[in-house]
Amino acid sequence: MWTRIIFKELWRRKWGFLFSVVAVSAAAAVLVLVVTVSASMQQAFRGATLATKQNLMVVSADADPQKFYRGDLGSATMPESVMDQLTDRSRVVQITMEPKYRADVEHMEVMKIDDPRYVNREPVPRNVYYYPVPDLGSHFQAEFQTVATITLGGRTFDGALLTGQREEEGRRTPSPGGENREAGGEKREGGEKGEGGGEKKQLVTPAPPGHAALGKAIAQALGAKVGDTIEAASRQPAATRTFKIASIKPAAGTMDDVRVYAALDDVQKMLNAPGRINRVMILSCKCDQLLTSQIADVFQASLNMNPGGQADPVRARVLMFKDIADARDRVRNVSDKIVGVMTPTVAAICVLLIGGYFYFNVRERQQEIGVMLAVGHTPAPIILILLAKLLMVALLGALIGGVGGIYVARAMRAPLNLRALVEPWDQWWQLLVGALGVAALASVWPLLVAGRTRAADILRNS
Amino acid sequence: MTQTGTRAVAPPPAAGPMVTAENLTRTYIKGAERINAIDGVNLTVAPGEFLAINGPSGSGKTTLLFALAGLIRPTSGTVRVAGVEVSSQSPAATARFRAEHIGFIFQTFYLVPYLTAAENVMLAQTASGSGADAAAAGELLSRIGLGERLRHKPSELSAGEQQRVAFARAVVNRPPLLLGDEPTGNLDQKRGREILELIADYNRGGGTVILVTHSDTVTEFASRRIDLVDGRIMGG
Ligand SMILES: Nc1ncnc2c1ncn2[C@@H]1O[C@H](COP(=O)(O)OP(=O)(O)OP(=O)(O)O)[C@@H](O)[C@H]1O
Ligand SMILES: [Mg+2]
Repeated sequence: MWTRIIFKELWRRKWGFLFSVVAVSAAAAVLVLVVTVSASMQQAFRGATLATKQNLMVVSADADPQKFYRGDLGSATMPESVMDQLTDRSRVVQITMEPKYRADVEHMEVMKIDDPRYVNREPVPRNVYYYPVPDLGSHFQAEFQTVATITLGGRTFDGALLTGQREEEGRRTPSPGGENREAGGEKREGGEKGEGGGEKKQLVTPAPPGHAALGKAIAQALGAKVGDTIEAASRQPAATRTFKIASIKPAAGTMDDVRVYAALDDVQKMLNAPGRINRVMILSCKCDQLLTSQIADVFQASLNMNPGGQADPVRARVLMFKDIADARDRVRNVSDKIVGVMTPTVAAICVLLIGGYFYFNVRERQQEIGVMLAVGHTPAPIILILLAKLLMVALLGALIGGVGGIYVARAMRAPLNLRALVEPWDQWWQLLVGALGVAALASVWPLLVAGRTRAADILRNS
Repeated sequence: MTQTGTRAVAPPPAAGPMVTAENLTRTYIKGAERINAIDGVNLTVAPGEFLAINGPSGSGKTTLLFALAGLIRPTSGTVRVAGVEVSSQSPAATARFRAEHIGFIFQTFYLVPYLTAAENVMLAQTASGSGADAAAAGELLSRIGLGERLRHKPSELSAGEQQRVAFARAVVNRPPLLLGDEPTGNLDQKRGREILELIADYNRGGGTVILVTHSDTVTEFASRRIDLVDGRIMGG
């Protein structure tokens, strides 16, 4: 009987119901749209900036900043062992912060792995996370880069960046606090799978010895094909070496197009600088600026620590690519702000919409309420019947608005994938909880009105 | 059509009076003005009685009736129905009590517009412990001549038919007491009489009736008559 009452009343006053559901859906859809578009905007921006492979770079303390921005790191070198030092597993970074890289990083330090808190995995204070240095989500790439002239069959390309690369080999990337923590800095062979996490994919495949991968611009200028042999002549120090073209990179629209990638070993031999490099790239740390700068500090500290009792500490400098980190933070701030303003605004609009609708519905139904009281119904089920409609408006609105918002976001070809949208179920929980919260707020005044309904006042003939 | 209500209602005869009002007063305050809508009413109605209440407009008839039904809390005084002190119960408790013991019909029917005739009757059934019973509701409506109208909405019924549905709603739970606030006020002579016949039938079946009315026809059926003037009982 109750469901009959609920649905018959709904049907009788369907237009008002439809209107309010549509209005609430529209408001919810706008919110979902704002949230998803801003999330996908951040995601896209992060992707775009990650693709530029930036974050942190370690160069010799003697490197000339002007040259280095032109890509010519020249003769200011540092020992290759810098890389090993940076990726040394015996060092642990302790970061005190919220899990989501919130901007409240309080404290970070480098310490030895034999710290008992870490080794015995005793309970640590909340919000303190221990990361072995290589597990910060970064790739490390040691490079020796110099400016060279490339020659092929009488044609030359001046100002190419000859880059010898050694990437850290397939590392385990256990999750923080996970298994497989081992002291010692020895490297692992590629292809091995850690139980605590997948193996990190290599960013680049350095060319095999004697071979080179050619940037598109150079290949075009020289008319080079795979299998051709090029000659590279560096200026400082002056040296030459030949490479067989192993592959030609697709156009990137960046400095990569004028780069010749070779094995680090080959370039070191050519330049007569065994065991020397002139930069280490630390790539794709998914951190905001604050964290990035803190990590830069850690690395710098790690370089200055002079482990292993070397005679000289490595004279190296950690540089942060501030512009991109700044831009990323700005994007995040703006979209956080938009979401932060839109969420309460839409919630307030929904409260007004639903509350107003519910209020007029209750007013409209006062006679029914009076009749029900007169024939002997207690107030409780009557209020539940009234609330059922309110809940339907709120939940239908949230559902239609949620699905509609996602659909529109997709239709707009916002760069998001549906799985990523649907899968964090907490989003749907948030929507549900939000709808219930809105419904609760919206119901207060109308229910007070309904609760004050005196059958006598309504049923009195006047 | 007469003779039908008898089987429709079989209220249990109560021991002692059906209704007692003692020193019943209801005061409304409008600004600085205090209106005693009913003013020290004492009233006893025996089981099986058919009481007609007369009086000029504004004399407090509706207020008295609603106070008897527990729809209005008296400012002072007490109301007992079937031995239960209605006037001091909580609203929820009076509601439950009403469901089983008191039927009410109004001048303007007050049917729920989106429910059918049968469903309007079932609405009262759900309020009582026994719950909705479509068959019983249909049977009752058929007995009072609405067998063809079970699935009609109030807007599809004539005024007389609507009031008969309202009557069925009032008596479907077999309450021992039936209250009516000018139930014939919106009906023509003939339809009004039909309703009164139904009420009289209910009364003959043992039900106690208290009707507020201006109609002279009621006097034919009523066993007693009182006049209310300015919230006080004059005759009786
Ligand atoms: N809620 C209220 N607030 C203020 N005054 C009220 C209220 N209800 C009733 N009254 C007053 O109480 C008095 C009695 O009203 P009541 O409706 O009981 O009279 P009545 O005899 O039923 O009149 P009628 O024959 O017109 O229906 C009237 O003066 C009315 O104005
Ligand atoms: Mg009246």
